[in-house]
Amino acid sequence: MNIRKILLIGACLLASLAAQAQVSMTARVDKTNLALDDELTLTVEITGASSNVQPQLPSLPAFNVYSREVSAMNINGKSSTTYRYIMLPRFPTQAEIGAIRLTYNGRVYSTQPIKINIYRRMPAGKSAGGSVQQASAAGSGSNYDSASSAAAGNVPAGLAAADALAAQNKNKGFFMTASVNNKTPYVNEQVELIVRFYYSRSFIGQPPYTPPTVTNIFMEQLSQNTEGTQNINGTLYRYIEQRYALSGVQAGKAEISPAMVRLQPGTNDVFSAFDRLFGGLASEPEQLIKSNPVTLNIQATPTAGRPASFYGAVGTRFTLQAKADRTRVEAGESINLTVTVKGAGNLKPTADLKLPPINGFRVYDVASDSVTLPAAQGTQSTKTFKTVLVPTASGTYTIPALAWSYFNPRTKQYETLRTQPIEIEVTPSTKADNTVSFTGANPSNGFRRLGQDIRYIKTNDYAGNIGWLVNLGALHILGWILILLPIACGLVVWLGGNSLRAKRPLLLALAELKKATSEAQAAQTIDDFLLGRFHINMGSRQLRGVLEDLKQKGVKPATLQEFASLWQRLDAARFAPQNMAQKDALVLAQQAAALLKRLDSEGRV
Amino acid sequence: MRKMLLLFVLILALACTGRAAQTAAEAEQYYTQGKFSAALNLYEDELKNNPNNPYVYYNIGNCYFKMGSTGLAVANYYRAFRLAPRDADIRHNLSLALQSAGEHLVPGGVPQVLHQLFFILSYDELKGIVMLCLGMSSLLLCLGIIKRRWGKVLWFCLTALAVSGGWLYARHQQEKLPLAVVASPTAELRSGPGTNFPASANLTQGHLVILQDSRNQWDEVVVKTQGIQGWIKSSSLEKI
Repeated sequence: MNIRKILLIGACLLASLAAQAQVSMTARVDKTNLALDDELTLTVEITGASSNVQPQLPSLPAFNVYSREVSAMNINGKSSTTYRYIMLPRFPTQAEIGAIRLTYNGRVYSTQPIKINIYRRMPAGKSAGGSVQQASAAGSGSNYDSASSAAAGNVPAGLAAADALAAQNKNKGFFMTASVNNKTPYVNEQVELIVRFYYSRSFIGQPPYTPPTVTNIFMEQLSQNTEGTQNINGTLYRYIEQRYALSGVQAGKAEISPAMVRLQPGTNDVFSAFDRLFGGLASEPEQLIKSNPVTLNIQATPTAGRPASFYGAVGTRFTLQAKADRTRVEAGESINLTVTVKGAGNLKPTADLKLPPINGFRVYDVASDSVTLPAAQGTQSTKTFKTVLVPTASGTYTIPALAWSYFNPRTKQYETLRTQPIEIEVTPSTKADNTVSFTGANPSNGFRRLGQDIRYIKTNDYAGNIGWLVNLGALHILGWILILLPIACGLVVWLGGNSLRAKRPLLLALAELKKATSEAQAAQTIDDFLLGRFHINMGSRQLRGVLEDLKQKGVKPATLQEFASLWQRLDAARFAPQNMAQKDALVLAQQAAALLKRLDSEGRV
Repeated sequence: MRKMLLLFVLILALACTGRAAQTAAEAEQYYTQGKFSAALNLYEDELKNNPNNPYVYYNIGNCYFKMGSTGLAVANYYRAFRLAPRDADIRHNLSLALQSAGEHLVPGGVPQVLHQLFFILSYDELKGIVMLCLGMSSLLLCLGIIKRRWGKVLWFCLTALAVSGGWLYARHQQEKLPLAVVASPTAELRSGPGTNFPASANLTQGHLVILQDSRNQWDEVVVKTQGIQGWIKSSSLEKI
C-alpha cells in the first residue's frame, strides 16, 4: 500500500471520528399556547452521545410530568436518544421551561429556555397546536453550543389543512397530513416535509407506518415518532410526527407519494389523556390511512453569474473556514488541511471542493464528510473537506484563499465565501531518504525529484543564430541568380560552341608561347596550332606542301612567306638546339604570336 | 562636424544599451520578487525594440506561466522556439507548458532525437544553408558545362542541395502553418460561427489549434491533438 492510500485512509478515519465526536441536544415542545385541559409534549433529542446519558430537566412548577418515554436509535454509527415527556399544566400562567442541561465527557451542553402560555380556556385567535418552539444545543468546541432559536412557526403552513381533514374524518377519528414549507425550491435547496398521523380514537397495538416514496428528490429523515397533541375544532387529537429533509435532484416536477398507516381501531370512544392509562379496547375492521400526495416544482439555479467556485449548494447563512493542523513543517512532511462549510441547508448532495494547484505542495485528493442536524429552522449542515498537502521543498509558502460559492434563494443571487490565506513555513528535511536497497547501494544516489517547474528567465543577450548564414539566407535575389547562372552558361555554350571551339587552338597556342623558352617549344606550339585550327599535321611533311595547304585555306601570300621564314628558323633550331636568351625568346614568341593571329584570322577551317 | 556627429551617435548607442541593461535588471528583480505582472510590462516594452529576440519572448512566456496564463505562455514560448529552436531552456519550458494543457511538442511516434535534429537550425539559418549549397552547385555546374567534366564535388554539392532543399520545404510547411493557442481559461468549440450553434467540445487554455477560416470575430479551427474541427471565438485565441 503506498503512502498516498495510507494518508487518504487516515484522512477518512479522522473525518469519521470528528463526525462521531459531534454531540448535539435539541429540545422542542409541540405547542407554546395551551389550555388547562390540554397536555404538552416536550421532546429532548440527543445525538452523538452514548444512549445511557440523561438530560437534566430544570424545575417545572407549572407542570406535572406524568409520562416519560425513551427511545434510542443508531443509524450509520450515529446514536440518537429521544426523551419524550408528557406534561399537564397546573395553573394559568406564562411559564418557562428553563435550560435543559447535559453533561457528557466533561462538557456541558444546554438548550435555550422555552416560553409557554397556559390559559384557563384557549382565547379566540390562539391556536393550541399551531406553534412549535424548539431550542437546540451542540458541542464539539465551536460556538455552536450557544446557537439557538426562538423559532416560532416552523410548522409548514400546509398543516393548516389539518382542520379541513379533521372535519372530513370526524367520524373515523384518524387522518394523516403531509406538508412542505416550500413548493418551488431550487435544486439542492432544502425543503422540510412533515408527515403527521392524527388520531382522536384509540387503536390496537403499534400500527405499521409506511413512509412516503419520492421521485427526483433526495430525502433524509430528520426525526421520527415525535408525539404531540393538537386541539382541532374542539376535538383533542394526538399526533405522531415524522420530519424529513428533502432536496431536489434536478429541475422539474418532483412527486411525494402518500405516507400510510395501517391500523385496527379500538372502541369509538373519544380519546382522553387518561384513557392511555387504562387499556382493554374492542377492535374494529382494519383501516388504511393515507396522507395527501405533494408535488414540488423544482427550479434550476440561474446560469447567469454562476461562479466557477459554485458546487451546487443552495441555502443561507453559510460560513467557510480553512485550517491547517500545523504551519511549520519539514519538507516532505504532511499537513492536514481542513475546510469546513456550515450553514442552513443540505450540503450532502453538493460536489466536493476542488483545490487549485498550490505552489510548493503536492496536493492529494479531497475527502469529504457531511453532517446534517435538525435545527431551529430546518436543518444545519456541516460539510468538511480534508486533504493532505506535502511541501516538496523548503521555503515560506502560502495556501491561497479558497473560494466557495452558494446560491442564496432569498436574495436569488450567488454569494462567494473565501478563506483566509494560510502561511506555511517549510524547513529543509532532516530525515534521510528511507528507500530500501537490497543491493547495498542507494539506487537514487541521494537524488530525489521533487517536482518540475519552468526554467529561469534569460538575463543575457541572445547570440544563438549563425549570423552569416542568416544574412546569406536573406539574399533572395542571389538565389535566383545562382539558379539562372548554370542555365545561362549552358545556353552560351550551346549557342556559341562552334566559334569558341574555333578560337580555342589560338588561345591555347598564345598561352603556350608566353611560356616558351626555346625554339623547339615554339615549333611544337605552332605544330599544335596548325593541327587544331586547320587540321594540318606537320609531321614529316615538306614545308612546300604545308604552304600549299595554307594557301588553299585562304592565307595571304605575305603571311605565307613570313610563316615560311619563321618555320625554317625553327626547323634549323630543332636539329641544332641551343638555349635562347630570355630576350630572344620573348621576341620570337611575339613574332610567332602575331603570325598565328594573322593565320587564324585569314585562314578557313 | 563629421566627428561631432559620430560622437553623438556613439553616445546615443551607449545610452540605449545602458537603458536596456537597466530595464532587464529591473524586470529580473520584479520576477524574483514574484511581481510577474510588473516584469511582464517591462518585457513587453522591450519587445517593441527587439521584435525578433527569442529571449524576450521566452521571458514573457515565463511571466505568463507564473501568472497562470498557460495559453499565452505557450504562444510566447512557441515564438521563441521558432527563432531559436536549439535553445534547451526554450524547448524545456515550451514542452512543460504544452504538457500542462495535455499537448506535446514532439508528435507521438517521432523520436526525440529526430525532432531535435529537425529543429537544430532556425528557419533563417536553414535558408542560408540552402543558399550556400545552391551557390556551390551552381558554380560547379557552370564549370562542368564549360569544361565538360563533372567532378565528385559537384555531385556532393547537388546531393547536399537536394537534402537541404527538402528539409527547408518541410520546415516551411511547419513555419507557415497558421497556428493559434487557446488563451482564455476555457473556450467552446461550436459547429458554426455564433453562439446559436451547439457546442461540441470544451477546450482549456494551452491547446494548439490550426486556423482554417475566419468570420465575424469567430475562427474556424482544427484541434491539433484531437483532429476535430469547429469554430471558436477569436477573442479566445492567441495567434502564434
